[in-house]
Amino acid sequence: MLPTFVIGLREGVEAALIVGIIAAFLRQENRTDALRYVWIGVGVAALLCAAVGVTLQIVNEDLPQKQQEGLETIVGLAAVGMVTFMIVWMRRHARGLRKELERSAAGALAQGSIVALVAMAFFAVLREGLETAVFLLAAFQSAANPGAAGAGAVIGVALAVAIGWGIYRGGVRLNLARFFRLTALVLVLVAAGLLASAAHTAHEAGWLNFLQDQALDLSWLIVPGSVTSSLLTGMLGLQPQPTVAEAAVYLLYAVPMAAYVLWPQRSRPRAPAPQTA
Amino acid sequence: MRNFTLLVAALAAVSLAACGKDDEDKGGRKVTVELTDAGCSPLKLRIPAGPTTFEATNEGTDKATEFEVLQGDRVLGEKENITEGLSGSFSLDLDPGRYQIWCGQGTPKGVLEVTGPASSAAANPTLAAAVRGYDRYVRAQVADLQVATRAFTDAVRDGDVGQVPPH
Repeated sequence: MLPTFVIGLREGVEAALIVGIIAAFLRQENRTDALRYVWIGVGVAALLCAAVGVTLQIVNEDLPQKQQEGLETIVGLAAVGMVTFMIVWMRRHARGLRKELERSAAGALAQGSIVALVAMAFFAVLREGLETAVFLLAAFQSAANPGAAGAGAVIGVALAVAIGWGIYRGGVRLNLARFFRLTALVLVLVAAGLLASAAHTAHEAGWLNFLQDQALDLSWLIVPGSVTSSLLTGMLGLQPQPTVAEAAVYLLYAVPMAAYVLWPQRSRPRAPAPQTA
Repeated sequence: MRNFTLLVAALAAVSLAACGKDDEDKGGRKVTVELTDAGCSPLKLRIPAGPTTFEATNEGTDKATEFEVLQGDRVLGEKENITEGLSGSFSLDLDPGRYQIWCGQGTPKGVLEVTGPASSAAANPTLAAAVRGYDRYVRAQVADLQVATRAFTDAVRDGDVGQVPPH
């Protein structure tokens, strides 16, 4: 029961995290209209994944692993772009938000960005959902103990959804200024983790075939098969034994971006932003 | 209610699929690898070249839940999320050489040695004869081209543009 629980949690929490962040962000922006489309998008994606999973079972086919990893890579990179956009946006509007000003027209999110966020939520669920649906169906056919295996996987996914909901509720409770200050750094870590995950899935998709030596061993912290590993891998993109490529993209993103969000802004109000990519 | 209907549909599909599984033969040889606490078992494989279906089974470990065949840094085939009681398979057509097998992070990499004739095409006498014939044809064409081109370049070099055949 535990192994399927761990995998259900890991697969589910990646999507739940992205959706939770998007939902909290839109709620903070008072875009409850867009929020409705997020929930619809998530629901449609989940149904689509279930349909694909069931269809694959009926025609007795496997999910093509390489294409699946390719999809994960592309959506993962899009998510990095989205989170980066959020970080930069927050940073740009931090001064106004700190004073708890009313949202000015300049601070309002463009309609295009809203559409992109809704689409992102949809693809985030689709990305992990396909693999999860196939895995859930397989768990119920487990030769060893189908009931326990299936239940473990379902509870894992349910917990992931609960965590996503918690991020959304928690994000909503914080007042605006604190929300942005607290989340900017967390978002940098999330985005860096997504980038490392993309490097991981790109390797499995056959796209990234160099720098694959083990960079460091974190398996003392991220014990493969444990609940903590599923949370750390699922939410922060940390692998037990990251490769050079994964560690490199993580640091290349995390270090400059952390410097960017932590750089005191008040003292240099008119200073040009270090970088916005 | 919709969720319930979906669940019923899923369960029906699962039981249908369970009946049909393993009936079809994907062709080629089948190699079974077991996932254990120590990683892949066996950790050393020696198989002849050609289409091969790798099947990974998990009889009860939570240390290893995936199976990969790699060539250097390149993943050739992979199956993830093979928890206790599950199995997964994929097919590859491998040329002779040394490959690696791996059962996921925290487990050692194993060796997959593929032996024998390069590929099924080389083993087929008709195809081999066709390849030899085409090889002869290409060589003859290139030789002809060289002779004709030399005549042309010599003429140009001598400034005798009139010699250049009108093509």
